[in-house]
Formats: sequence, structure tokens, C-alpha cells
Amino acid sequence: MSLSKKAIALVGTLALGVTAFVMAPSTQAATVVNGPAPAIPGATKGGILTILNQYDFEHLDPARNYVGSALDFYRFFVRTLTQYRTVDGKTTLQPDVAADLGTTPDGGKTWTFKLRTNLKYEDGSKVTCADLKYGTMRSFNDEILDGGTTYAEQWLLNPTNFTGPYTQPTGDLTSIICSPSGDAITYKLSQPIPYFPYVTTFGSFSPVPKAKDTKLKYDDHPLATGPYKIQSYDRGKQITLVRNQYWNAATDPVRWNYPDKIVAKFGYEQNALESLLLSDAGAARTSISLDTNVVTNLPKILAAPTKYKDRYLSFASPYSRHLNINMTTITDLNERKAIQCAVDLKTVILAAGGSSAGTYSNSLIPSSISDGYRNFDVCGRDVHKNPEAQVAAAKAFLAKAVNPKMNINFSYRTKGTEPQRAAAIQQALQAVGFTVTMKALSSATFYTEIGKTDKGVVQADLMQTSWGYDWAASSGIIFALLDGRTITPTDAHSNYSRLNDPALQVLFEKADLITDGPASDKALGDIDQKAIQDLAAVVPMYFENTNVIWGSKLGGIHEDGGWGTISPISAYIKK
Amino acid sequence: MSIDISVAAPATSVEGRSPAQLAWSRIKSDRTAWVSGVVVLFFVLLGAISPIFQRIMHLSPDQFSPETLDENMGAMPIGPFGGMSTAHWLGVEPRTGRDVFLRFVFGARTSLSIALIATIVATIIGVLIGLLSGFFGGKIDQFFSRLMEIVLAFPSILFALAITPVLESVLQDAGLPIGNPTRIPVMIFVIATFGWPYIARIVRGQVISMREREFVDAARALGASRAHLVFKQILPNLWAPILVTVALNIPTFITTEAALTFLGAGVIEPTSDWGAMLLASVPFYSVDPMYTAIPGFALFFLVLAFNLFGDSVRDALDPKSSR
Amino acid sequence: MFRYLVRRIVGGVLVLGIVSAVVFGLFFVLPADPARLACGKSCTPELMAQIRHSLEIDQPVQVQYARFIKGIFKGRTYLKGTEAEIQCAAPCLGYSFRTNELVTDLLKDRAPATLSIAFGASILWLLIGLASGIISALKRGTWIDKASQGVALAGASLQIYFVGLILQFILVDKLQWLHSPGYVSPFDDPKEWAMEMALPWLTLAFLLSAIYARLTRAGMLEVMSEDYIRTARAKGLSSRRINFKHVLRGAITPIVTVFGLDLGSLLGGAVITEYVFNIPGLGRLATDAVSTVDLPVIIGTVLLAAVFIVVANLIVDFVYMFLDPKVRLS
Repeated sequence: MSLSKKAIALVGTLALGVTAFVMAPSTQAATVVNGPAPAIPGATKGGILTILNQYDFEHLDPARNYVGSALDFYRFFVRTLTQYRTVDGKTTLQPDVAADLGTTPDGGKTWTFKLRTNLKYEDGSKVTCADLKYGTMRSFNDEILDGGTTYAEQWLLNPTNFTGPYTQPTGDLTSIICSPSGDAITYKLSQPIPYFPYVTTFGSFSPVPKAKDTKLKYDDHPLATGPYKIQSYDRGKQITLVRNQYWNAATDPVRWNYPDKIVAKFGYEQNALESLLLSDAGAARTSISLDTNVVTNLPKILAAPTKYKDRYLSFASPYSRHLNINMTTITDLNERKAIQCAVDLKTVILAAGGSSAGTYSNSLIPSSISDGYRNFDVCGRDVHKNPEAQVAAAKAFLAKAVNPKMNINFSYRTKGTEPQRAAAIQQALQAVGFTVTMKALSSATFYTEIGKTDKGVVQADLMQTSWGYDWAASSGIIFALLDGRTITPTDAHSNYSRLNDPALQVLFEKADLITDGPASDKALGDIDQKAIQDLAAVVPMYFENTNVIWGSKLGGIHEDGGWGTISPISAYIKK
Repeated sequence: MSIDISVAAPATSVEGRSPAQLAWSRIKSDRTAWVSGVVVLFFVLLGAISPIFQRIMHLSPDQFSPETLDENMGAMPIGPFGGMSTAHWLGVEPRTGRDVFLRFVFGARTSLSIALIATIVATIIGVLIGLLSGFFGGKIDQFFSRLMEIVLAFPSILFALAITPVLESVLQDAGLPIGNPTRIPVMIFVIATFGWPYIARIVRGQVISMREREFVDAARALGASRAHLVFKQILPNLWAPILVTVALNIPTFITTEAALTFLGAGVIEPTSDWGAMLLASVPFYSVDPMYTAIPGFALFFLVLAFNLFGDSVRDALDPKSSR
Repeated sequence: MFRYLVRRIVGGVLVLGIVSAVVFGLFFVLPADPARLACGKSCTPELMAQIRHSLEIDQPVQVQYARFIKGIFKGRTYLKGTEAEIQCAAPCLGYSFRTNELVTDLLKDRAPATLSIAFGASILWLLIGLASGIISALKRGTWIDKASQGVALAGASLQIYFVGLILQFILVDKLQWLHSPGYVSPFDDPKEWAMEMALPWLTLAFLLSAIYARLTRAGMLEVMSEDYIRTARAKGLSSRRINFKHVLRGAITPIVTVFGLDLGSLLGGAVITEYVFNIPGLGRLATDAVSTVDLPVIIGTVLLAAVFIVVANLIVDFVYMFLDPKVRLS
């Protein structure tokens, strides 16, 4: 998921142009979809699923969640208005607490969803429309319930300037209306959003009973509506989920409930986890890690593909790894183009772990977004075929530059393979004549530091960053990373390149108005190409691969096309 | 008749040898001292002449050699023993292809010079404080002893980790450029700050036992000033225990430097350092053990050598200690 | 004697006070905004203002420090008066806004793992060290003596991040005799606890036993040549009784001293050990806090470690006093 915590959505209509999704056309009367989720062939009930993670989940409170692996885990006990389901490699959007995928009579400004009326929480009480509304309302108090997405606050109409139930106990969010019988809910948005049912997959659209809202403590035990409920949660150490007797499979097209119990343990170390899962010894046979991308032991797996084929998966993650060139400190276009040419993508991928670490990229948009992606040349060559540095071209650009800044500073995080990748880039740049000063920043402060635009702050010239789209469309990438409107006098937000080109901004404003999915992707793809090819604002490097391995007695593990992560939701223990 | 009493002049004059000379001859004949001394010098020399190797091999320790890595096998070195070859005597680093031998000798230079400077600083501070504390006693001694106690109460590695970013910001505000130019002074400061009490303690003890000895009394009776007593009488006789203490503490300074880098508070990429090599090798130890073994064993031999050398010096200076 | 005790305790408290003041002060000298650091990833201006108010960062450092110390004795309330009010009972060592946990809770949670490492390893290294030293002294000059001394020397010269990896490779990965290091509560599964702790215990014991072997050996040799032993032997007491009873007692003092100090600093945060073996103890908590710049947790862990060190020093002093009458009278 996105690594920047500022959700950017200043725009008008956006549309999804994702071919992997099958979306119910918004103008038709939506059909009611019931459970159960299609049975996984060969799956049987029983056993304990063990999840071994390096880190605890940041938050389990649905209003405080943004990170892919947590969202995937809390699906075991949290139900949202709509949710993704991936079966046989195909991902579809399904109604979850909603009974249908919603209808909009006015092109996306008003959305009405039929609701299921037979849902219960883990304590047997009924899930009501008021709960669903309250769940969204409490997300407005994001100064207390921090960490979640801010889409509700940004897109729901708010005529009373509602700030949240904690600060305005008697206030009301009038843009959410429950039908008198509680069997439907209507959302009034501040602008038309044709893909709103995708936004309601986030936790701020999840039911929370007001009487049982324990505020900050809700993070330790959200009231379950899914097939499992939290039995115990020892923060930082372990969480145990047991069956929720009040969950009815017939009401849930999104979830399965094969294991009897799910135990997640935290605090493992990357390499220890890799070895453990590889060894498949004892308890590791029924274990999986949700936050470990196999890197070191990849050679072992690649050397014996048949041995691991049933318990290993490699798929493209939404993470783009690229370099941002600060356009306010490196103002000469030729110098920026020289930097683009000088970077040796081959050494970068090697430093990241070789070909299994990812695929070379020429764009900020991944190839899976087919309407937005095109394979244009960077520095006059196809990076997939010739990833090596183009030294001659770099030197030629430098020669054309007028008084180029040859002493540049380079900020990167001390996390994972970033230092080695940064060293590789430094080497490549120094080979064409730059003097690169390395600035290692801790991962906790990195994005804040490099976003600063205050006067007097020494800004980084080059930054090694990454981005994972919030949703699988160009709109989830380009607006955040390249739109000049996000830059304020103190903060560049996610536009680390500080790109603010007048011609491009005209294109952005045009793109705001496009309602058709594929057309929007194409328009944003144009902007992406111009920003990279013509303005050299960014040096794309690679799209990361996620390599996951799990125990041999686990079945039903698949890649979730919605969150781009590995999903245990349909896991079962093989006999 | 005159009796010619001529006292036959002895064939050789019997000279008294000073304790230093006695000790030195003992060390010279101690084989262990020789071997360990050579080992220490070997590593120091390696580090010192590292730029020469760079010139011979036409390679820089920071240079990436992607052709030595197998990109389809997790970017691991091609070939056994971590990619050992005539071009790369100790193989190459996984993921980057940098030459391990060069990174090793340059790492020796980094680690040893930082440790050495820190040792010098810690020794100067420790000796001064130990001298003052031991000689003057009373309130001064109480103050310094309390100070030592406080410094020793800090969990050193922990505190060093926590304080590094703080000190870095302070130094950067003062104008030092970011990166190693700030990191290295911080490391030296931290290692020396937590190291001087060990030296001060020993020196203080020695000074206390020495100040009541006859030669000091004699000098005092002759009217020598306190400064003279401290610097001309006591200090010269302290060199022996100082030497022993320093020799036995250097390994700690070296390993602390490596530990700090290992934990991420040390020198940053691309500068090579033994601690950094050890840290970088952790993910690969089962697939490329050479990369861990080289800095690991080197550190081991160096520390062992210092320990043995220190022991030998101590034995040579104090033959009473039972062996 | 009583006065000495009291003096030492007061001294210890003073030392802790100074340590806490230094730690506290140093971190507020940080140019980076403590409120921003405490705020966490998804910081909003409102949350930051709340934290700033709650942490009373607008107050001068002395006031903040005074509140911190008061909190240790009386407890403290964060975000008072808001919906999110947090009670921090005495001893309140702070509140981590980043992880939404009381520092005291975090410390309590992680302490068992560190205690397990420290006590298990210390018993082992003491046993190994003593045994090795005794054997060496008794068999002085023989190859057994030399070998034993050699092993001790090797242990003293090796580093944990090196030995740890090697032993892990051999004992866990290849031979699979031991389990991957980690921590389970000994009350939940004692066998697993031991299997997972075994590698850290063995590694630490190997590295730290050296000095005990050396002290034991030297102490025994020295005492063995003393008059009263010769007298005892002349009187016909058996060798064994002489060895263990008289000799060991003489050598025990320096051993106790070093043991106390080693244990104290290990308890304070076996930082490298926990990092290398990935044990979720206090040391790991500290290194994680440093990397996320979680100030309250950093301050809490450093303070706790200092407490362990100071208390260990005090205990060693008292034990030393009982063992060595000369000290008592001075």
C-alpha cells in the first residue's frame, strides 16, 4: 500500500481502468449477492493456521488501517461495505456488509447500497445501519484515531463541518442516510466518484456499534463480524483468533473459515523466518509470514523449483522503486537527463537481490495497468533490454548543461537493501563525474524529511523512494507523485521531485474531468511519459516482486489482487 | 716495600638495568609476545597500505562488478568460496560484486583508525583523571570517582545507539557535512567517553599505591613541587601499567567500533568497515560463509593477538604473577 | 557497616538521578521536534498539538524533567481532559504515542526474555568458568591446563555476532540439535523455552566464562601455595577437602565481583545478543525504539538498564563487604 500517509485526492472525477476487475456497471439496478464464498477444492475444516510476522500489525481498528498486510489480516474478523475476493487468480469486488455493489442515479455523486439485515457481531448483537454510519463518523476524529485513510472525510459531503463524535458528541454526518428500516444506506459525495464501491473496501466503511466504541482501546479488540474473533491479543507478541459462532457463511461471499484457530506471532527476524519456512520443520508446516519477502534464500528456492512449487509464489507487487530528482535544486534539464542516463539499473537490481527482486521499470505505472502503461524509452533505450548505464549519453547531456551542479546530495533510508542500492547509484553517478554525498536517514523520519520545502532547509537533490498504489489505476499513482498542486510552502507531500510544470498542470486539470476509466488512464499515462521522458523528473528503477513461501501443509494461499499482498483468507490445513 | 694493591677491574662493568630494560628483554625472549606483536602489526600494516592494493589491483573497494554476480540466483557471487578468483583474491560481496579483499583491508583501515584514535583520546583522559584523582585524593578523588561511577552506570552500547542521531544533529548544525564526517567523530566520542573509566581506574589505583612510596617521599622531602611529583616522579613509573591496560583495552575499543557499525550506528555506505562487513554478511551466512568468516576471523585473530600481547607485557613487567 | 550501606545506597540513587537527567536532557537537546517524533507515522497537526500539550513540550526542560520524575513516584495522566485520556500508574516511565503503550508495560512485557537469557547464561558461564579454572589449577602445567586456558582465551577473543552465527549455522541449521532462537514463556512450554534459549546461553557462556576460568585458576594457584594450606596438608587433611573448601573460598571474592558486574550489564540490555538471535527482550526493544526514534521508550530502556547496573554494583559491594573483613573496617 501507499507509503505516504497523505492521501491525495484533490481531483474531480477519477475512474478505474483496471482490466483485472469486473465491476458492476453503476447505472444498472445492482444485483444482490449472497454467500457463501465458492468452496476451495480439497479444503477441509480444522487445524490451526500460524502466521509468523516480523512486525505486529500497526492497527486493527478498521478506522486506523492503511497498510496492506494488516488489511488482509483483519479481514478475518472485520467486514466492510464492499470487499475484494480473489478466486482462481481473478479478483472481483463483492458486496460485504452491503448486499449489492450500489447504485448511483447521478453519475456517482450519490450512492445507495442495499444492506444485509441478518448480520451479527461476535457477542450476538445485530449489525445495524446506524453502526455502519457510526463507523464512518468516528473515522473523522483522525487526530485521535490516526493511521487510517481519509477518503471518507475527503469525499463525503459535510455541510455541518462535522469533526467527529469525540469532539462533537451531538453532531451528525448528514451525508450518510440510513433507510427507515435499516436495509439500505445512502452516501452523498462532494464530487462524482464512479468507483466509490472500491473506496468502501477500506475500514472507515465498517460497522462499529457506538455503545461499544472503546476509542483507542478498540485497536486491541474490534468487535468481530467476520468468521473469526479475537480471543487474546498480546501486543507485540501474539494474537489468537477463534471461530465467531455468529458469523453465517451464507451472508458472506468474501470469506472462508477453514481453520479452527488462527495464531499470529510477531518479532521474528527476516532471515530467521526465511530459514524457518524453508525448512518446513514442525510448526513451520502450517505457517506463513505476511510481511516477509524472501530475499536471501531465493537462490535456494530458484535452484529447486519443483521442490517448492506448491508452497512458493512470486508476483509483482504494486511497489515502484524509483529515484526522485529535486527539480528545484537541479534546475537544468540536461543535468537531470544526464542523471537518468547515468543510473545503472543492472547494479541496482543486483543490489536488491537479482532478477527475482523485481522487473526493470521505465514508468511509474506498472504494466498491469494496461491502459495507462506504455513501454517508452528512457534515455533513448528500452530499459528492459539495456538496463546498463548509458555513460556516453550521460556525459553528452552534461556537456550541454549550463553550470550543472556536480556536487549532489542523495537521501535514502537505512532499511533493507536501500543502502546497497544507494551505493550502486552513487557509483554509477560518480562514473560520469558527479560527486555524490550520501545522506542516510532513518526509516521513521525519511519521508517527512525529504518532503520539507521550508525556506532554509537543505533539500535533498536526489531521493530514493518507493510508491505502492492505493488502488490499481493510474489515478492512484500519478496525482500523488507528479501533481504540482500538492506542493505547499512547507511540504511537497508525495511529489518529492517538486514537479510543477505549467504545461503538465494543464494536462492534470484536463484529466480531472475525465470520467471514463481507460481514457483517464491514458491521459495520466501521457503525463507520466512526459514527466519522465521530457522533464526527467524521475528515474524509474524497478517494480518489486513479492516472493512468498509457506508451509507444506497449508493450502488455499493466494495472491490478493485487491491489496496486492499474499492472502491467508482462504487458507486451510491439509490433512 | 709497597704493597701494590690493585683491585682487578672487573672484565665487564655491572650496570643496574632499569625495570624497563628488564621488562623489554623479557618481552624480547617471549615467543608469544613476538607472534602476537607481529599479528597486530600485520593487520595495522594491511590497513595502512590499503591504497597501494587499490593501485595494484586497478580496482576500488567501492566499485560494483555486476559481472561477478549471478542475477538469477539472488545476485550471489558466481563460483565457489564466494567467487574467489585471480581477479578477486577473497571473492566478491553478494549483491554488489565489490572486491572482498579490498573491502577487508580498507575496512581494517577504517575500524582500526577509529579505534586507535578513540584509544588515544580515552587514554589521555583516563591517565589525567587517574593521576589527579589518585594523587590528590580527597574531594577531587571523590568527584572523579563519582564521575566514573556515573559513566560506568550507563548501558554503553544502548546509550551509544540512542545518542548517535542526537550528536549527529548537533555536529551538523555546527557545520560538519552529513555522512561519515559526522558519524566518525561521534563514534570516537562515544567509544572514548565510555572507555576512559577503565583506564582511569587502573591508573588511579597505581598512583595511590605509588604516592606513599619512598622515592616520592624522598622527592617531597627535597622540596619538590606537587606538579613535579606528579609529572616527573609518578608518571614516568606509570608507563608500565598504562601500557598493559591500554593493550588489554584496545580490543574492547575495536570490537565496540565494530559492534556500533553492526548495529547501524557506525560508518555509512559505501565506506568499508569490519563491523559493516559482518552486518552485511548476516543474511548470507548460510549461502556464502566466506563473507562472514573473513572479517569474523580477522577480528578474532586481532583481538587474540592483543590479549596475548597484553598478557606478555604484564608478565614481563611483573614476574611475580604466576603462570 | 550500616552507615556504609546507607551511604552506598544513597550514592546509587544519586547516580541514577544523574543518569536520568542526562538521558532526558540529551534527548530534548535534539533539534528534531520531540512532539513530531513521538507523533508517529500518520501525524496530523491536531494530534501533534495534543501530544505537545500532553508532553508539555512547550515547558522548559527542567519542568518536563520534574514532571517525569514525579511521574515515576506518583504516576501521570496523558492527554488529560480529552476523550483519549491515558492513565499511567506509578512508576510511570512514559507513554509511547507511537505504539500506544505505556513504557512500563512494554518493559514488563520484554523483561522475561532478557531475564531468561541473563540468568541461564550466567549460571552456565559460572559453572563452565569455575570448572575450567579448577581443572586448570589442579592439573597445572599439563596439556589439559594449556588446552583449557586456550579455549578460555579463544572465548575471550571472539565476538558474539560472529560466534553466534557460526553456532547457529552448525547447531540449528545443519545438525538441527537446537531450535531457532526465540522466546516462549517457560511457564507455557518449558522444553521449547530451553531449546530456544540454548543457543544464546551456550554462546554467551562460551564467550564470558573465560575471565572466570582465569580468575579461578589464578586464585586457586595463589591460595594453594599459601601457608595455611601447607599447614592443613601437613596436618593430614585430604587433598580434596583442602582444594574445595579452603582454596575456593579464598578465590571467591574477585569472582563474585566480576559476576555481579557482568550480570548487571547483561540484564541492562543484551543488545547485541538479542539482535543477533532475535530474542524479543529489552535490548531488542531498545534497538527498535532507536530505529523508530521512539523517545519515551528509549529513555525508559536506558534508565532500566542503568538501574540494573547500579543495583548489581551495590549488591556486589555488599557481598564483597561480607566476604572481605578488611573492607568492612576501612
